[in-house]
Amino acid sequence: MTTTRFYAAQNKTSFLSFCADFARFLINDLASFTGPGWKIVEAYDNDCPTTKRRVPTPLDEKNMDNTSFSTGSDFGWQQNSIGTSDWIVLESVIGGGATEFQVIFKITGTTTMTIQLMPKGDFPIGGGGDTPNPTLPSTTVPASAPTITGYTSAARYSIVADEGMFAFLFDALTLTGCNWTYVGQVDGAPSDDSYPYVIWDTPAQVTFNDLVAASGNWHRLSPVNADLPGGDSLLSNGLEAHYYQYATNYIHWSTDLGVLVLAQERPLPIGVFFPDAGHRHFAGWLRNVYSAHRNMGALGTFGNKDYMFRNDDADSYIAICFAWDGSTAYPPTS
Amino acid sequence: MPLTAVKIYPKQYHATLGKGLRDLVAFLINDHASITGPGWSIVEAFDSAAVSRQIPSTPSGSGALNSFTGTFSWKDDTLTTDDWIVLETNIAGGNPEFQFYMEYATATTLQYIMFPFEDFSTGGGAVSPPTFPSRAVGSTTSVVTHTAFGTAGEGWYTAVADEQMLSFCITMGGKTSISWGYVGSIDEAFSNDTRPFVIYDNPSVVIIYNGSGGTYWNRVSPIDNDTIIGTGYWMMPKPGAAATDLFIDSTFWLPRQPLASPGIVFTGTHNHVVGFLRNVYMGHNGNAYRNILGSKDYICFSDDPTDACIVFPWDGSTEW
Repeated sequence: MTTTRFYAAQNKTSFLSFCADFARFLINDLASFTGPGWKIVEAYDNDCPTTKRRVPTPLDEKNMDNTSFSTGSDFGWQQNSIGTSDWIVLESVIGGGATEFQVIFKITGTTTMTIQLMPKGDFPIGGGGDTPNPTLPSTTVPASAPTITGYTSAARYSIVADEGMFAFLFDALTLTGCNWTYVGQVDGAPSDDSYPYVIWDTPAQVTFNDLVAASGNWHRLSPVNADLPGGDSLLSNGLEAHYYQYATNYIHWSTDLGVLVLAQERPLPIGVFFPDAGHRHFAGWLRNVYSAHRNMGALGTFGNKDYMFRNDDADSYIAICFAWDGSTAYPPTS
Repeated sequence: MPLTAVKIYPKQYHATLGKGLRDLVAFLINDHASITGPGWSIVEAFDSAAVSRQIPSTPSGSGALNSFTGTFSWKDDTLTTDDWIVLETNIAGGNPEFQFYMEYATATTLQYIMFPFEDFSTGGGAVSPPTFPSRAVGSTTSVVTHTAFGTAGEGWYTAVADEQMLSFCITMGGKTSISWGYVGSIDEAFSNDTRPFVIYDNPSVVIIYNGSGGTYWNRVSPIDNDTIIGTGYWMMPKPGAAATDLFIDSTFWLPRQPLASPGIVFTGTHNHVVGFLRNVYMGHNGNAYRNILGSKDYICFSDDPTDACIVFPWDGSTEW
């Protein structure tokens, strides 16, 4: 069982100020928020005058103020002074015998971050030395890191996360001024899929458009040979599976079915499917992220604010929908 | 949504449909000697041979069927054709119930219909069938006819049920000798859809059918709580531009594939997504006509492995 945690529509005046929050939220060390309690594996501060690359104090990996990070009071991740070229590696806390995955967040500019997934949780601590680009495992996905973009001025930043996934939404609240991503576990994977972890590769596309363009935005380590010698087949053409009625009558696409009966809209689960020859499989279901109808507009909430949706190409494509906290308005009212 | 607990009636052999029906009822009202049921209750029953309608003094639980008095087929396990029974679900917390009429119509056919407003009138004439409420739902307003096999309905009877839904199948030896049904509540219905009860009307189509003619689902419209609509389609997941189907593509890597919860959607004036079936899932067609999934955690069945199969949760032990 997992518990969904929310960092909902927080107003940040710069992307870097968000960066001071997100890692603390994920490790449940951010004042006023309850996060999912991930672990720090290692972090790097490019401007640190002393030890740039640090591993948290053992048994204190969920504390940004652990002794290792606090020493010298000069480490950006502990001082909330994140800058370009800094990075941090975090690890999930799924438990129950699952292989925990790791994620590396690299701050690549004043408004940009790259995110990559290490499904085997095998980031080599210290590998590559003091560098903004540490050595990564061969099974890291995507091999080429996608960039998620924030803003230099005030914008809204949201995170939905649990022990085994997170989704970000960065939103300037203009029609196309938004970025999102999903990283982590899918539900329903068979027990012999040891690494059921996926990552979205096009953060600037805040809509699901697979019904008309097989754009293949999902990546993962193939489960077919992941545990065999040399088994590092990185799949990069993952597609969403949407609920449909028959033929091409997709529920959240159909104009006919877009009529809002009973004055409510509903989320529908999103599956992720990989069509690669020899590795063709249905991976499972996104968690805490759903679809919503394309005709609902660019952004909003429904279901008593239990769901929030965002769509940078409303009417054309299907909206991306997050589980929501039941109280925060979207768009925000203040 | 009220909490429910699925109960399994795993592959019970009966020589006749009458024996199978009575045993299934015993399971549903939790009056079965060896299988725990969901605890529905009996509203009224009819014995055609005795020309008698009775309301039991104990409607549910141990001894319920024995609480009928005198010579009475439902008590004596002597069902003959035209016997019928009306059951009522058992959801907690004052939530709406539905009633379910089942009739041993012929030696090999069961007929049933749902009363979503739990408004069956007891005490009417001793006839079969009795007078149904105006908002009875089966194949729209008609009863659903469900066929068993052999000359007397011999076969293996299997069901999954909880406090507010029932799905069951009847099988014989042949790959296509199978029929199934579903009646009851749907998960994730809109909160203002107060009676999200559906019924499947084509028991001889034992697949998750994705064709344009597959309007096999029926209910009372939640729009006006009055119109009986029979245009419900299956709703299932599918990739878009990839032009394939998650559940009917033979090139999939399939040590085991994730299951999906099939949903139901109605089109036309009363269009709406109802929600998702409870305790019934869809599986890959590569599982063929019958299969066990996992460590007997699920079973699947189909009469046409060119389409997705139907999946029941299972008891972890019974062979299938």
